Amino acid sequence: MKKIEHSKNLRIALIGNPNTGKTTLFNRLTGLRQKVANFPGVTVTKKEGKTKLSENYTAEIVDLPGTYSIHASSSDQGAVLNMMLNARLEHKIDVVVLVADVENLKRNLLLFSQIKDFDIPIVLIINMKDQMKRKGISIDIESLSNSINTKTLLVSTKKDKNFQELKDSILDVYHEGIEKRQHESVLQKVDADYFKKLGKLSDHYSVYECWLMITQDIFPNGISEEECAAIIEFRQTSNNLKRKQQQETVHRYVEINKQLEKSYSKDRSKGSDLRALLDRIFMHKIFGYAFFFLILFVIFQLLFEWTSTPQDFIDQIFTNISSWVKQQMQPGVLRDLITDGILTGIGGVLIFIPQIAVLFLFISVLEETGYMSRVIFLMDKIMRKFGMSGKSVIPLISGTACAIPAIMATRTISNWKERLITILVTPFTTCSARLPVYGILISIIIPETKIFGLFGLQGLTLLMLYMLGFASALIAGAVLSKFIKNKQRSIFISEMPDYKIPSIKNLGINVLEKTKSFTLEAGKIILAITILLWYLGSNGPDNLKNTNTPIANESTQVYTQTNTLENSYLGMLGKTIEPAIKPLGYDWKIGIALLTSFAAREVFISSLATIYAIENKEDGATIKQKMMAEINPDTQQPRFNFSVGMSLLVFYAFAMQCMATFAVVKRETNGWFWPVTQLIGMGVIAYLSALLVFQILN
Amino acid sequence: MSAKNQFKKMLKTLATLKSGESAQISENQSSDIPVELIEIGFLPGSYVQVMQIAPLNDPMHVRLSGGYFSIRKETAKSISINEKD
Repeated sequence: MKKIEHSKNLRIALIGNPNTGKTTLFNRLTGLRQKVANFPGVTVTKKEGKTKLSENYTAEIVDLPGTYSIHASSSDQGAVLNMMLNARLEHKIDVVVLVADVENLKRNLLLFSQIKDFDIPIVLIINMKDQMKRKGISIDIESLSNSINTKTLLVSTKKDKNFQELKDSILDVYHEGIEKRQHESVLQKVDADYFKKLGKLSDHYSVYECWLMITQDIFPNGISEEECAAIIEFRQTSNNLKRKQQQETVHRYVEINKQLEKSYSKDRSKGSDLRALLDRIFMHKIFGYAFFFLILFVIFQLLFEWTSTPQDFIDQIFTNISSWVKQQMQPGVLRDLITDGILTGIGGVLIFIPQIAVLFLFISVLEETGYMSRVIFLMDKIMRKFGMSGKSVIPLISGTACAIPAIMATRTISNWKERLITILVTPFTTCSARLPVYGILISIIIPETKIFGLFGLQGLTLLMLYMLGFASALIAGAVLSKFIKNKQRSIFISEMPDYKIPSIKNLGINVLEKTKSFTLEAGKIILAITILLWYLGSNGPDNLKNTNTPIANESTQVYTQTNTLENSYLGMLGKTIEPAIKPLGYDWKIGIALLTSFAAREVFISSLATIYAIENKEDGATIKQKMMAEINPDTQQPRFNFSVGMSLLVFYAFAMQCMATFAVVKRETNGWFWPVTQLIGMGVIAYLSALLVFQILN
Repeated sequence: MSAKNQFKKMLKTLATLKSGESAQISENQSSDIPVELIEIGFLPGSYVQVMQIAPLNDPMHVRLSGGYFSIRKETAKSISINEKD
C-alpha cells in the first residue's frame, strides 16, 4: 500500500472586484493566521494567510487588492497583473479563486474573463447568495458553469458555516490541471493579423501575456532580454493600442452577455427602495452635511470618553513598572537605560493605542456600512477647492488619531497630485500625541472659567486648536495645489456600494491591522529615538559618568542632575539653539524639550519633567506644578505665562515633530524630497507663527 | 444643417444629463474615453441613469448595468451619449 503523501501546501490567489466580500472570505478562511506586507516597489498592501484544505493539503492564501480589471490601476498598481504574469512559469500560484458578487455579476465576469486567459486552474465564487431573493436575482449555476467552462460556486461569505465545498473545488481544479485552450479568440476578433504575429514572438509566453506586457509595461521576472526587446519592438502608437484595448474590452463584454443570457436574470425594479431612501437622506444638500458633522461630533465625544480610562491605566502600569525596576536594580547606566530609555519609549508608544484603535473602529464601521462612499460623494467638490479629493476625507479624519495610518490610507486616491497634497497636509490635523502637550499648556495658561456658565474656556481652547489643525490643512492644500503639477491625467471613479451591516470579524481584523501598523511603524522609531535622547541627555563631552554616581546628600545629587543635563550633548544642543528660540519666548530647557519631541510630541512633557526635577525638591509634585513654579530669570515672572504658552501651542499645532511620520512620507512618496520639504515647510510656518504670537502678546 | 446636427449630437455627453435622466451610451466614442470606464460598465450601447448630482453640482451618482458609481463631471464629459428620441 502506498504511504500517505506528506501534506502538500498550495498557493492560492484571491482575486476580485472591490466590495465583493473578498476580504470577508479571506478573513473567514484564515482567521488571525494572516500577515500584511507591501508588494515590493509599489505602495500596495497584500495579505497572506493559511488554511487547511483537507487531510493532506494546506494552503497559503494571498489576498490581492480589489480591482475591476487586470490592467494596472491606481488601487492595485499592477500588483494583480504582476502576480499573474509570474504565476505559471515560476509556479507562484497553483489555483486562482475569483470572487464575484451576484448583483454585479456581469461587471465581475470581465475580470474573470481576463484572469481565465492566463491558463491557471481557477474557481469562480459568486458571493451574496443571501441577497438574491431581495434583489430579484435568479441564476442557473450549472448552465453558467458550463458556458464559461469553469467550476462555479454560489456562496454567502457572511452566512456559510464552513467552506468545504470551496476547498474541495480548489483541490479538484488543482488536480485536473489545465487543458490547452484556444483562448486567443478575443484578441483575434480585435485584430487577427496583429495578434497572430504577436503570438509568434515568444516561446514561453502566450499572446495574451505578451499583449499585457506591451500595454501595461510590466514584465515577468526572468524574461530574457531578447524576448523583452522583441515585445517592446511590437509597440504601436498609444492611440492605436488604446483602441485595441477598448475593442478587447467590448468583445469580452459581448461574450459575457452571451454567457449570462440564459443563466442569469435580474428584476431591476427590486431591492433598491431602502438604498434610494437612505441615499436621499445621507446625500441631501442640507441633511447630508448636517448628518456627517453630527457623526463626527459623536465620534469625537465617544473617542475621549472611551479612551481616557485605558490611557490612564497604561500610564499607571508603566509608572509602576518603572518604580519597581528602580527599587530592584542597582543604580547605574543599565538601570537608567531601562527606566528612562526603554520603558519610557515603550510606554510612549502604547499610550496611543486606545485612541487609535477606537478611532479606526469608527472609521471601519463607516466604511463597511457603505456610508463613507456617500461622504466621498458629498465632499469631493469641496475638497477639490483645496487641491484634494473626496477620498481625502478619510485620511484627514484618521489624522486626528495618528498621521501614520492616515498617510497610508491615502493610497485609495488615484490622482497623484491629490494624493500628494493629502499626504503633505495630513500632519496638520491634531493627532493624539499633541493632546498631552495641549492639555498641560492649556491647564496652565487658560483659567478654568465658564462662558455663560456653560462652555468651559479650556475646552473651547482645545476645540479651537482642533479647528486650527483642520483649517491649516485645508489652507495648505489650497496653496500647494497652485505649485504642484499634475503628473498624469487620472479619472475619479468611486463605487457607491449598497448599505451593509458590518461584519464584526472584518471590523476586528481591520482595527488590529491599523493599530499594528502604528505600533510597528511608529513604535520602532519612537523607541529608538527615546533611547538615543536618553544617551545624549546622560552623556557629554566632559565625561559625565563620574558625576553620575549617587551622592548621599540629596541637594548635591539634585545639583548633579541639572549639571549633568546642562553639560550633556543634549544640553549643549539646547543652548546652541537658544538664541534662535529666544524670540519665541523659550529658553534652552524648552529648547531641549522641543528637540526631544521629535521622538513623539508628548515627550515634551516628560523631558520638562526631567529638566525641572531640580526646582521642586518636594517629591510628588506634578509636572504641572513644576512647570508653574519655573521662573524666567530675566523677568522674575513665571516662565509659562500666557504669551509663552500660546506661542508653544501654536508651535506644536504646526511643526512636524514626528520622525515616524517623516519615515512614512518618505516611503509613500518614494524619495527624500517631499518629506524634507514638508519638515522644513511646517517648521518655518511653526516658527513664524509662534514668533508672531509671542511678539504680539508680550 | 444635418452636418451641424451631427456635430451637436456628438457633443452630447453624460455630463449634460440632469438628475433622474437616463440615456444610451453612444456606439461612436472618441478614443478619448478611458479604458477603465468601459471596464466598469460604460459600454457603448448600454444604458446609464443619473441617480443624483452632488449638492455643489459635481460629481454625479450614476447607475450602470454593472453597479453604482460616482464620477466627476470632467470625466463624464469624455462619455458621449445618444440624443433622446
